[in-house]
Amino acid sequence: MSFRRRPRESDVPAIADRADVYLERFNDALARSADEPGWLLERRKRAMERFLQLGIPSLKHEEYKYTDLSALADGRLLFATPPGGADALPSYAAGGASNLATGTGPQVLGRVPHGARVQSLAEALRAEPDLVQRHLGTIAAYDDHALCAVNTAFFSDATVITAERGAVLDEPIQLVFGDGPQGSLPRVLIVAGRNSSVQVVETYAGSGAYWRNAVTEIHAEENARVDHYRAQVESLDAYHTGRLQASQQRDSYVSSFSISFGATVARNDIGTRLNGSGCECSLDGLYAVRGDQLVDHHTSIDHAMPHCNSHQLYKGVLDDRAKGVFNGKIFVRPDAQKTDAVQSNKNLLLSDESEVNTKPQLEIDANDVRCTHGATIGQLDSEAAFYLQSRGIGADRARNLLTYAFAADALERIKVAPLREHFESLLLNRFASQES
Amino acid sequence: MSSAVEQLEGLTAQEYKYGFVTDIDQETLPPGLTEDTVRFISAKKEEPEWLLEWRLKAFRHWQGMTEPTWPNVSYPKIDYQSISYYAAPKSADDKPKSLDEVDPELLATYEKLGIPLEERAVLAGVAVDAVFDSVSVATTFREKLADAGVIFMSISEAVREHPELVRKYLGSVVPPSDNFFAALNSAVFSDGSFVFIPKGVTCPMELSTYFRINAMNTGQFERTLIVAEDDSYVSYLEGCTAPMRDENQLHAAVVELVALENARIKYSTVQNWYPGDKDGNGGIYNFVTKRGACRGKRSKISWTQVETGSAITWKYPSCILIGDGSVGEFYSVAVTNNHQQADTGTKMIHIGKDTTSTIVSKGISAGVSNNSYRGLVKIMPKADGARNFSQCDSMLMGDRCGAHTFPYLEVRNKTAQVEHEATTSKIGEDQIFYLNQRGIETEDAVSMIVNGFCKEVFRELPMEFAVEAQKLLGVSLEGSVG
Repeated sequence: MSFRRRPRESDVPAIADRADVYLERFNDALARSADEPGWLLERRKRAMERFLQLGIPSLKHEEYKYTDLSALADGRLLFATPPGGADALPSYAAGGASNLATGTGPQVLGRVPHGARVQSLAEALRAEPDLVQRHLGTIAAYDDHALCAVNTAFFSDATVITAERGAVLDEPIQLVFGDGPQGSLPRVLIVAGRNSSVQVVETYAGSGAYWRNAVTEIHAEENARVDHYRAQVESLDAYHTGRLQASQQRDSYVSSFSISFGATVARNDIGTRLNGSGCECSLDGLYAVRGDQLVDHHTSIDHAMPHCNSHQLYKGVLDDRAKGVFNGKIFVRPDAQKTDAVQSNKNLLLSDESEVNTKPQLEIDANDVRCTHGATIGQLDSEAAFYLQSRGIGADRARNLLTYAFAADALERIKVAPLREHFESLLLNRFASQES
Repeated sequence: MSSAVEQLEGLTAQEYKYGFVTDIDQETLPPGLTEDTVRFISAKKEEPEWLLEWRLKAFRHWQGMTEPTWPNVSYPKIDYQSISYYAAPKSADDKPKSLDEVDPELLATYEKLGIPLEERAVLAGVAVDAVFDSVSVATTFREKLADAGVIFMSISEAVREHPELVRKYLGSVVPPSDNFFAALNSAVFSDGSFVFIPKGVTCPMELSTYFRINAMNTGQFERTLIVAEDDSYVSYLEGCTAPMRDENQLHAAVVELVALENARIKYSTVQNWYPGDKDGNGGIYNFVTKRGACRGKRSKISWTQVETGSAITWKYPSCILIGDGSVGEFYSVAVTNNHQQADTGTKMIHIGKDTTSTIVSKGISAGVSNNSYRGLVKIMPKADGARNFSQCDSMLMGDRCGAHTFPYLEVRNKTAQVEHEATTSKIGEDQIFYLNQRGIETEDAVSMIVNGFCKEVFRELPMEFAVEAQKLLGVSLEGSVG
């Protein structure tokens, strides 16, 4: 008896005959960005070239084995249907809105803290051309990443956040990606100067059926600290693909928290490369999906240098027919001695038809290291639920409390209080109406 | 760490203990693989028409397949046309009826390997179906087994004597089209073992086959089929050594296990084929497909393996848990040294209700070797109450070796409980220091720690094998300790 997956339509090499739309649009895009510097046009052309070779990955691609992106192959969702405005922005984002800062692109909410600059691509190219050239499109490599190549080839504007050397920003910088001219292809570059500390919250929300393909690059200079939050509450008809890639210099610290509640198919690639000794990073996330949603996280931590620490904690709650995918890669290069890497992925299945595919992966080429990973999949403890019920708490509420308790230690890692509180209350009520 | 380095140096300097070539005339097919090769092998073994057709079908399928590239191993491309697909000791035509008739040179070979057939048979009570290259040359204790109703013979004999059984089960667990190497094996398999345990029988002794690759440039394509009927039990041992040689050798075996209701099969392997010299020249390519099907309720299949040899190991003993309440187990120690590469692990496919699986994998890498664990735990939607526990630990000795873990967990049932844990570490200096201050030499301390690391697996091995396994681990890692 063999258990092969039956070939699906999407196994057909995706792009070859459907690339016309992309090519056509690319010529338009080139015409639009004719006044960009030569290096950027070169990078865009190279990205397009790579995309045409790679195509939208099919299920045969090991990295996309569980995530069907064939709907993206003809480019319709990207070019023909821009995201509509979200019905309501999350409370933390809507509440603080005051003076909008820059650009045609995302809305920057609230005050930009002292010591930081938030610029559009054009502004940044005027003010700090060298910095942009050094980092934009070099941190998130697109040579082997089709989705990142699409963004690099087509993004029309970028948000460039810079924190001055030594600047410690006490308030987070909030970016909201809703509708708008470049809503489909957000691009963010965060450069944290030496000894600086910066927090960035990105929120993705919209309505209707569309494909949002976002790329964020982070460069953390020596001893810098970057806390990055990514809240994805897209429309339930939308495809969301996001890439976050960081490059860390000596003694820097980068944390990422990915919240994934929305989208019909969400795929996040989150990675960091530890280029100097003494770096630390922490990649965490929480996904809570139901209905026919699919959420896929791929993380990658590249320990290139010795004496670095990394932590990962991803938690998932899946209901109805939802699917969760997690793949965490930890690479320890031959010279990266004294590495300490910890990874954990925990999943809670609430329904009979939900599904989890997890693959915690270690690739270790140094000997003096401590690396552990763990993955668990289980259901709610029926005894705990019974205990709560025996204390007069209804089955529905008990289930919610236990689900909340399961996810709480991940949520606790969010240091921006309004953001954390918003998702805490969202989670507490998320699976409320489901109980029979 | 210096002591470990010294140890490694001692160990790399150690020559392959079992390297010698027995000088026996061989009837060998010239290199090359065509339909005629398949027909030749089949005719040589006087096989019935259906089996020839089966082989040809597999061969035609194989021709359309491409060699897999996903394993985390690298090796020069194999030219399948430069391999000879059949070799048999010349005396095959008039098969020996008893040990006295066995070619004395062959017996001497077993002596050197430390498995004197008659002694082992008498003292340990183990029936040995010794496979010397491709043809079985001796089978002992057949009468005793026959009394119990157990069938234990070479697969070519079984094709002649029990065609209905072979036809029913051959390829039913690993279909000929399963993968590249399984297809190749199905087309050209030379010989192997067939075991059939009838209903209600507990096999009176542990069954054992010793494989030995002997002829130059001869790939060995073993085929093993074990069927345990309702309420039966069998423990099967497989152990391997091979003589030293320079050219890489391909070994693509297929092992199929079938366990019916309440049946238990325990399959233990100690693999110590020639791993190549310390510069990575030569050595065996071990590309094996092993799979067991727990078809009956409450059946159990347990794989235990100690892998210390081979230049490249590519092997995933798997369990398909179909029967409700069936149990799959996988215990593995894989040691790689010098330029060895191992990509090994297991698959546990949970289909029936209340199925349970346990995976314990211990990888030790030294030198510039690469050791990968690759495993799949899959819980199908109907497998209510399925339970899995996996633990994969790696130990690194030397700063140029690699340890990789690729566990796949696919869960489609909410009542499933799946846990996976993995750690990677080196031998702690504090551990060695602790043992030192208790008066234990550093070298002894290292061996003690390594043995402790593997203990969970060794204790799953049958008594006779546990000793050999520890000896092999000694050869691989403690050789210089003395």
